[in-house]
Amino acid sequence: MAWVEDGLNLPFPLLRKALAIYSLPNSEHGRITLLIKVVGDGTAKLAGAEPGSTIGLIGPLGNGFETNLPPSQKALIVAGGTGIASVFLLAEHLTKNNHPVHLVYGARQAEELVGLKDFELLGITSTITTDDGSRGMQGQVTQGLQHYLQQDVGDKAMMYTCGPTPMMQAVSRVAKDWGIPCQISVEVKMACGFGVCLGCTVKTRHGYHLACTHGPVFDAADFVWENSSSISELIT
Amino acid sequence: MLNPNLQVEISGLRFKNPVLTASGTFGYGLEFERFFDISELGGFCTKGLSLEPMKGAPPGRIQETPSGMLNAIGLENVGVEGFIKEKLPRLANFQGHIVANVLGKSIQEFVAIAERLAPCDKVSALELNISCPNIKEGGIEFGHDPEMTFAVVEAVKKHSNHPIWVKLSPNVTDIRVFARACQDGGADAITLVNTFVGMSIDVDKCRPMLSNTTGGLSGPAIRPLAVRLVHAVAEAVSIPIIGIGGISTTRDALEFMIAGASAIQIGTANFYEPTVSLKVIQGLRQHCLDQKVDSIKELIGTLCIEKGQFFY
Repeated sequence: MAWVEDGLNLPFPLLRKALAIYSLPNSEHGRITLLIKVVGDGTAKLAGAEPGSTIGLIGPLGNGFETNLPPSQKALIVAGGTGIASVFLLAEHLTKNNHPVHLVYGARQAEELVGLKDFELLGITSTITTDDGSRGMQGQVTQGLQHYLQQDVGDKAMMYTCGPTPMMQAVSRVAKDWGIPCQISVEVKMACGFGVCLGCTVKTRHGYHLACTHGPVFDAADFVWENSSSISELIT
Repeated sequence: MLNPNLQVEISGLRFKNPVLTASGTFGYGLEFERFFDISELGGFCTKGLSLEPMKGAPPGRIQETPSGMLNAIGLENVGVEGFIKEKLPRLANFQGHIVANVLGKSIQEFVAIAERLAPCDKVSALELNISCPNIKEGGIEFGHDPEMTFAVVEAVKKHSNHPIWVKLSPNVTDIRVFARACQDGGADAITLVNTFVGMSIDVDKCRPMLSNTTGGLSGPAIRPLAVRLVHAVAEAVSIPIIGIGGISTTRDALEFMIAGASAIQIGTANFYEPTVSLKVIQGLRQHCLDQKVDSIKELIGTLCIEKGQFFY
């Protein structure tokens, strides 16, 4: 949970923003990187913070992607839009542990594709889609995913996805069709991030769970999407 | 005078300072142990406890608003049994007072919960939640009818050995009527106030932001509303008041105490600044030093107001 520490008695906006950490300090720099899309006042303030200002963080919070895979198992990361911010550390970790990683990454247009170089530096192959065709395949990220899966089914992979909710729902459906296990990282409004406001509840097959402490990563097979009329859609 | 006395007494209990944390914003206390030594607090109020565990409202439970937030959590809680078995034993070393916030769908349920908590020495007082705006049955039914308020307070008081606090709804025409009903029913203290009912709309989808349509507004936005109600009730009853509503700084807390509150609760601010209570406790100590006040009790109800200047 992050915000700009500006020393005001009355914070504006009032609540911290739940953000993923994009990358951690390494041998070349001592920085934690947050990759932020400006969507409201809180993110605008974070993005506009001058060098030398203080960003207040509470974290790390919640679970993470399950990366304890059988040796050399293939990993397929599917990111949509801002979802890319949540999967770079994952890609780095999997690569370090000798898992072949393929990235399927979609955005509306080429300018909104960020961080591709970072993934390339890890030696990760990628399938790119844009809605307007300004880079990669024209179409949605699920089409890129289908395309990739048809080319290279390979041995059984682990799929990870983060992005807009309808996109993750569609990706989960593709994963189910191909019999590939899939982990989703959800974004839900939350006030605290550590399990007391109880605001960030999501539905799973096992009942309500908090995205902040039980998540934000859930097994797609357990997750119940808000627009499903019944929980049967994903589990039957 | 190096160390001003921050102790206050409410309902026969001595609090080492007047700062408590509010029900629904502090979990069962344990969640904050990673941030600070919660024994520094005068006490805390548990998440509202029902007779049976409740799973709460569907997703879409919160929405930030100007200087505040709306919530419709729907009283998700572990139930009184779960609290006693799973939470209370882990609070054995807690040095402050634990106030069990309780809620029932009927007088019988309130009484049953109070009786179940009666043997729990670690619980110092009960806070009856008759003011949650987010569930259809129970709770608010009692808080919006003075006769029901009286009846539930009287019944619980008769069946409990704990001091009884009552947390009132501000969503009424004249809160003083309800405060008097609490006092007449035998309540030992009144907590003022619960959230104000509000609503927020997603204009792109033409849908309410909350799954419950409406929710309770909390945070700094409601502070002036709450201070006014504390002042009004302080004039109307003689039992102690615990003030709550948008407190996040020392000066906020002082406003409530000067208006007549014997202690205060911090709520929404716990979400964005988990250690805020410590800052307020330290700030109250400093304020006493600056004002050359030996005991914080001297500040309670010290509002200077000319007769005739106050209209409800």
